[in-house]
Amino acid sequence: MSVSIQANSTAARLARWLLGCAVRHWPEETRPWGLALAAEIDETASAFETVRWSLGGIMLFTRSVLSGAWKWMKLPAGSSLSDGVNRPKGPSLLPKRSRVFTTVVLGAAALLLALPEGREAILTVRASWQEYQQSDSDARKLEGLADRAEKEKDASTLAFVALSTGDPKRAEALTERAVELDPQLVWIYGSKNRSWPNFDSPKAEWLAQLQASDPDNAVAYLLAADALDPLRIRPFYRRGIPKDAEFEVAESDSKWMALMERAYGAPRYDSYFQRHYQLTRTVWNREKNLSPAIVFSGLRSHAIPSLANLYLFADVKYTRHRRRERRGT
Amino acid sequence: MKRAESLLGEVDAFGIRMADGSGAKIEKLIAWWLSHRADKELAGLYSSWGKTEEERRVTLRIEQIDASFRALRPGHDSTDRARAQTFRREGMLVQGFGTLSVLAGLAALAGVLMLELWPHKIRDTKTIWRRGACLAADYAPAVLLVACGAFLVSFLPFQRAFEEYRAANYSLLNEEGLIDPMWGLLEIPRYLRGVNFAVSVWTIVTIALSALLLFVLVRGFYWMRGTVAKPA
Repeated sequence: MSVSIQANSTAARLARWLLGCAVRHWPEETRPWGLALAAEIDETASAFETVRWSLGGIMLFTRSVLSGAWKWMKLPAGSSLSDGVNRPKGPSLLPKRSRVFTTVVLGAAALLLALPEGREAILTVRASWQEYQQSDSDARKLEGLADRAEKEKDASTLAFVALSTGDPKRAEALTERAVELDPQLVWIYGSKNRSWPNFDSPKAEWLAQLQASDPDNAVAYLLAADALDPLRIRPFYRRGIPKDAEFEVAESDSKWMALMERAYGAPRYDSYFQRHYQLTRTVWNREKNLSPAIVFSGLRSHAIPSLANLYLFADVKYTRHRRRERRGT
Repeated sequence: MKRAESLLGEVDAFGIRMADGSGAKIEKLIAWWLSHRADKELAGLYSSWGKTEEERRVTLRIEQIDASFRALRPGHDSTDRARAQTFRREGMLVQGFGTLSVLAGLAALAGVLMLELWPHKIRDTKTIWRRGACLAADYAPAVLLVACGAFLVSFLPFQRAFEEYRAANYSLLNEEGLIDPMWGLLEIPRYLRGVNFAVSVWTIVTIALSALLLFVLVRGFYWMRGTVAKPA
């Protein structure tokens, strides 16, 4: 019994305290009502009645606050409820539109931009101002995608991230993981230019695997020829049309010549661009929130065999032909 | 003779295979260029040997390669060119409305915050600032809403192009379908970051400063003349 009285008295004390708090923050217009309610609480006979009285008071306080807030919202920005009484005579110094109008209009604009179409538009336009270079948020998005793909053992998404990420080490790890999960994806070994816009050919062991799995494709040999020493080829053309002596230098590199011969003799040429394109399309279709910067930078960094090597080898052949012609053989 | 023919034939055949199997436009162009050069050498060879029939056949092939080459050059196909130009125009609209949305959003935020956070200070400031804040709070949200709507509507062609690319189920994809809209959006950012824009801005700034200097000098001269004409 004594425990119950104690509990009741605690509840009554709490109710009084709550009403006291409400009265302290009561809106000016109806504050006398709040003060009257607080004064009358001591007249209650039991703890239950005290709690009921306090609850009624708090309800009245809430209505009063909401009504005040609505009135405040109907006023223009910068004005307060007390301004109505003390407003100076003369021309209006406040905006014409109410806060409700401003809030509704701003909310509608925010809603438009939050729609999937709006988000895509913002992402695309933002990416265009960065010339479709990946931002930090794009890198985080790709990392998230890779983590999820790793959990789900989704080889194609891993391959997509490997081809799209700007981090060469991460790309290497993801490429190997994707091919490990799905050996059909071996083509990604020859599809990533690791340091776009400069040329950095794929790893030698990857190219060896690519040649083994796709022996009829010229691209695997061309990339391997590029990997030998791409910078060796370029100075020839930087000085203008190369001379016969320079072709002889190229011809003397038997490894390079053998690879180029195999490439020129291979029955097929496929730089896997279409597969890369298809893979990008599939993942983008699944992940519609992907930034176009990710899509574009991934496709842009697709490895294409060195064109200088192709020219050089053709030139070597023409030089051989002219040499034979001169000799009359 | 046979050996020379076969050497050139190898390059030509490789070019044909490369053109058939490549996905990127640049690869096709290089492939045709290789074939074209090999065929030219072959034509010269046949001509020197007096093999007119073979020479005619190779010359015909060179003409075919030339035609394919021209067709693939940027801007050759009028439909492609028109499409790229449309995307460039629409890209300008998207960028324009996007910029307007950002400016209107900032103006609305600044106007409303100035009025709400420092209502008394704002009332005491010069009329032009007060009027500016009120105008921003009154009209900037509406401008923002209209600009956002226009931004989304002008972005629709780009969204459709992306959707088309994502939904395509054909195996041979047209890279221009994706590249054109993306390049179209780069027009304004590239211009604003380019040399031409910097030159225009500095020209305007130089002309404005020169005009200001001239105005100050002329005004000073007249003021001095007036002072001299009216001695104390």
